[in-house]
Amino acid sequence: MMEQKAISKHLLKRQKVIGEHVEKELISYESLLTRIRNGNRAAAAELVDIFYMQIYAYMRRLGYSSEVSEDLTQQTFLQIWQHIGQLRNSKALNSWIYKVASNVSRLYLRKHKGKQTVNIEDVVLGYEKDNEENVVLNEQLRQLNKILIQMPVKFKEVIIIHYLQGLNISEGSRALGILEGTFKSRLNRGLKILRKELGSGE
Amino acid sequence: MDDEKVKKLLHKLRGVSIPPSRKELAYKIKENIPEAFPRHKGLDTISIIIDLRISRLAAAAVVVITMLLFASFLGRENATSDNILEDSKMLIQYWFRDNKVKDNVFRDSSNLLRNLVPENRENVQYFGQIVEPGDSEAVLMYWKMDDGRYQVIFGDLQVGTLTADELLQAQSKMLNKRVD
Repeated sequence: MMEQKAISKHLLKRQKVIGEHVEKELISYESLLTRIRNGNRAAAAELVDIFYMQIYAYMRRLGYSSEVSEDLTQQTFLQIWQHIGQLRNSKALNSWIYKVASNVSRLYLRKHKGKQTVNIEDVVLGYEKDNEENVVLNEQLRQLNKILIQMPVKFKEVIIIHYLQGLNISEGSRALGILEGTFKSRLNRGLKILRKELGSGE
Repeated sequence: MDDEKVKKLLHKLRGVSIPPSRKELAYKIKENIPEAFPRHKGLDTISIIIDLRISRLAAAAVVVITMLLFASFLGRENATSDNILEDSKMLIQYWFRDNKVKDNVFRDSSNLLRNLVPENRENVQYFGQIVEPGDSEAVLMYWKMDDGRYQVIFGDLQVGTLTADELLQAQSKMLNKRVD
């Protein structure tokens, strides 16, 4: 009983800390946006520091080479500067930035339709060093990454945005401009593809 | 392999670091920060469509068709009876006189149109590539409603509700016409 009470107390405290953290983040996004809208370039530079690595990682995970990913990250920010005045809700900043990045990526794919846009060899990830324990896991991760990159874009996007970039269902669906139900169904279908492909490699 | 195992692997993959970008990337992005940021134009979606995704013509067509769809969802049998909607319809028909423009608009619009339909979007069927603009009998697009009937948009942008049999007849008619 005492133990249960202690756990509930701990959970409540933890919840409060998370709540305060989220609130602080939202307040800082709001003030950041206000400063950017007022033409403050230092605030825009802060936004770059917060998001540029995330967007670069997103592009890399989609399977673009490092050069193309850098280029697409730059283009994403150019679009952000152009449209930031339209973003009214600072709570949506995260998903809005991913929405712009996804649009930039889709535009790139459309421009290069029929050409090879992703290169598995290019995506060299920093796996842990192979040792006896890690050999199987590393091989599975390599295999998973390979399958993910070769998946149809609409499934690849949802899997990467949700599981690898960490956006929740609501943020992810807004980022990709689809309904939450569609997002969930694509996640399920994406997982099914991964399950099937990984299973066949076993 | 089950879903849980795949999710665990994805979680592990998330923890795997991506080789960092070149150090200059952040610097280059910051170099391009403008002196002033454009003010809000008032039409978020339209502006983003225009600037990022598709041509102005296609964006305009999508906007007009959205208006028609919404008018239809609000319970109007004939969604083009208002002057502004009638004008929009004529405007689209005027644009579509040029087949090249029509093809571009239809090609670019199809995905966006699918996204604009609020329910069961996976089941939307779109026939923009084969429908002649202004053809009141041709089915441009349809999707199934909860009651089993179909919401249909015809080539002249009229909106109607058809049963499965009626839809089949309309499509047969459209295909026959095409063969003739």
